[in-house]
Amino acid sequence: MLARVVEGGPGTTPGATAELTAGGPRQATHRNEAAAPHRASALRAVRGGAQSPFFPARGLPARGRPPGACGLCRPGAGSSSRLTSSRSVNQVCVEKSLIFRTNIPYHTDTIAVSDGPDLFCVQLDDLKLNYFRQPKRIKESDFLKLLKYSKHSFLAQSQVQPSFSAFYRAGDPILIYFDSLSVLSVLRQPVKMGVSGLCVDGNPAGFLESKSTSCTRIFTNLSGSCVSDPALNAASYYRDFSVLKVPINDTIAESMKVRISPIGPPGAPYMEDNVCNNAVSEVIYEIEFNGTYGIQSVSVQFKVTSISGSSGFSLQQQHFTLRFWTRMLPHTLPRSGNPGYITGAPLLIANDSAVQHMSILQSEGDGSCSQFLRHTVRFGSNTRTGCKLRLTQMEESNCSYIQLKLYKAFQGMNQAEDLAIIGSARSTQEEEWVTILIQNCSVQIKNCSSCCMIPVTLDIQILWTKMGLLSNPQAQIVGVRYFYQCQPLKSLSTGMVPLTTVVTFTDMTEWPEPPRGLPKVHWKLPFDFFFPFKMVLSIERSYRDDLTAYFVVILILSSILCF
Amino acid sequence: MAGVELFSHPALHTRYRAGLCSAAALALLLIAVLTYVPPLLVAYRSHGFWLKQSAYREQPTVRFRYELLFVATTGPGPGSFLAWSTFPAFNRLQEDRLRVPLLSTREEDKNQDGKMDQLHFKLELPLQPTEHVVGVQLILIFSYQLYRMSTFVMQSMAFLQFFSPVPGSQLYANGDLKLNQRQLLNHCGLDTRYNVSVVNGTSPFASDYDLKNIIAAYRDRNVTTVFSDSNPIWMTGRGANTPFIVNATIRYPVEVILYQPGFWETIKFAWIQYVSILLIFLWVFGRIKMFVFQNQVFATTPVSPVLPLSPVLSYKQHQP
Repeated sequence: MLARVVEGGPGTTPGATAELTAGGPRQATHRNEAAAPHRASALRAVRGGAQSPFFPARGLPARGRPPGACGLCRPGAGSSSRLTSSRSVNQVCVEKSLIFRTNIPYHTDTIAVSDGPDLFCVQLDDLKLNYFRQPKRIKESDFLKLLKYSKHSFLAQSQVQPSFSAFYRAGDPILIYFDSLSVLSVLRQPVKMGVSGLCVDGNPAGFLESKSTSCTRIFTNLSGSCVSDPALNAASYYRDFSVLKVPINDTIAESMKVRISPIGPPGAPYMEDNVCNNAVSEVIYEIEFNGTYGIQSVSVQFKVTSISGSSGFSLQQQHFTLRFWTRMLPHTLPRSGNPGYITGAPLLIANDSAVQHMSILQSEGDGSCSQFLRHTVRFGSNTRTGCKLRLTQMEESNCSYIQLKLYKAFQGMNQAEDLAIIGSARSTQEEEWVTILIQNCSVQIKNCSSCCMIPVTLDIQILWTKMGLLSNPQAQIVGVRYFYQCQPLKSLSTGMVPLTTVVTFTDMTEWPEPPRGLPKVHWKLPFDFFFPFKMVLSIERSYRDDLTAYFVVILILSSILCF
Repeated sequence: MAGVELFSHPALHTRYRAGLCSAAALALLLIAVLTYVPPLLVAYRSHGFWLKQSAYREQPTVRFRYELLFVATTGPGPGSFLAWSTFPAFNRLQEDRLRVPLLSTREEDKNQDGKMDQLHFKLELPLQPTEHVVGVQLILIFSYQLYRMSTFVMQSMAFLQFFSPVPGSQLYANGDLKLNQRQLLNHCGLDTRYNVSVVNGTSPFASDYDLKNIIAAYRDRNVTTVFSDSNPIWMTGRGANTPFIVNATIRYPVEVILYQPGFWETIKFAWIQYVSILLIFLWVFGRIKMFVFQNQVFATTPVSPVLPLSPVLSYKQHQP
């Protein structure tokens, strides 16, 4: 027989339930209720205790017992209260003969009773009892060590103070120093954040991270902001501070400061006829670096615009560009990959004068072809643009002039002659460039000598392939063609000629035989029949169970077939 | 007695003979019926005897067809929208509301298994400073092919629509092109029921480009694809002279495709179920049969096994 004592913890109310359960038909429960206000006299009345072999016995002074309470509810059985009357101990007793094994965690006692059977008593409600491990006493020196357990807290992990290294590394913030205020800060590159796309000015610029960002500024009071907002004033981007050559923690020597030299700085913005002139729309920093010697020189260029503030508030897009360059690399354009093109990098084209990015016509807000802005072609992106070019009445009479004008519009300022095969092509290396094939209108139409064929669509067809290692393939261009599609001029509605440019990238990659160049196992077996076995062998996982299962299946199958 | 051997004890090689119309023969027939028919009933009545449908996983071969239809709502008025599509007839119908966007797309095969895994789509709609986009409707058309069971070829679309009370600068969506199946596919053959264009680009009639009609005709199909991005991101704060941008990534995930199993696959699974139950019945009724004949429940003539070169042989020959 087992005796089990279930009880509320020491913190429970004096009316906590004490249950003693024994197996068999003798199982019974007593509910003890609070009968006295004090813990010391936490005497409980026993309901229905008379039928039970369990006797809640309270070792209490007799005077503490309220009238009617029953400390000993079965006549003839011994009472521990009698024996432990001098101590205030809560005990529940049962006849010793009923218990021959106990697994309760409480302190037990066997009490000999002179005129009856011995009692087996369980001591409850001892506040001193602890079945957990004894906690250590924490000294002040221990506290720091034990704090590592407090991971789950609103208190953030201690912030590491930025330590400045001896030189800038890629991605490090670039330090600037305000001479007048003697304040150290970082160079910032405003960027858009969140759904609004508004400028976040606190974004630090990273060393060697050449990139362009753009964001929007809102001016509710343009006339006030025009002159007071530093974001619109070119001077605030270079005056009063200098860039630190290398990051330095303490004293800043004069030789460590690099002044920012503005190239053709515009004047301060001013309001005129409700229009804010000279407002900065683009800032371009060009930073020369030299390895661990840090920043050698910084120059800044600006583009300004005029903001009209006729409506209540006006939005102004600003562009910020950081370019890092070094004298080690002579060409100014950044590489588009090394060696193969990176997906999304601009294509490099060259004519006899310079290397530049391939660009195509772009449309203005009203659908007309932009005179200055051109869209840069990105490697791998099939692109389509369309816009309308206005032709004057006089021009329309001169066919060759129109043709020339349209070809110039399609190709931009400088006609491209060669396209870089790889992203790291140098203009001096002949074999790194491929000649652009051009198919003009004159090639296509021969039967119509009188009509004026003008190009309306330019299809730039680029063939590329993957080369090199299978694990790290490099994209390279194998061929490019400018294919002009032409229409007779008279079939178009007069005035506006719709021009379309399409860029198509065609992947010519020929992969080696699957599994991609590795020696192939020749399964002369039905396709997929041994799939579970092949899967087990090819996939790294806990296949021991599966193998066992297959083995069993094979055994069963063979035994069936044998009999 | 008619000399028909009804049963032969497997171990003792005793043969039991009786007439064709005897009680033993009838009992044998009954036992045979009870052996072979109830397993069929058990297998059938416990459901799933005939395989009605089955599933497999396959990554579809999806390619963007470079066909799209785009409508941008620029205000509350009925005529305030800008539209463009790759269909010349639609563009002609738009007249001055036509605005040619800049498109830039790239399909990517990430795991280089020869099947495209996602499409990066970017559309830049040039806008005048006074115009504001408050809603976007975009149909992208794909060719969708499945090969593993039946060769299933269709032209499908991804439809993206978003409206906002706040004029936007950019709409960003990133989701899967999910297959939506209302009907089981075949297990073999070529299925080109839906290999018809979603938008009839050759038609000059405006009704063929009405979004309502396009969607209605498309949803009539039993197999379609849907673009599942329940929460596109709408960004506001467009600067003057900057275009409105739709930026979407459309993934082509591996699909679980339900199909109607073929005749032999159905028979195979039914056979597996029937035989596995039959084995138990065979064993049980084999024992019963053995008991019946060994204990002569029905009158039969037992014939002891023949021992070669023994007089028993002649005895046996005269037995009938």
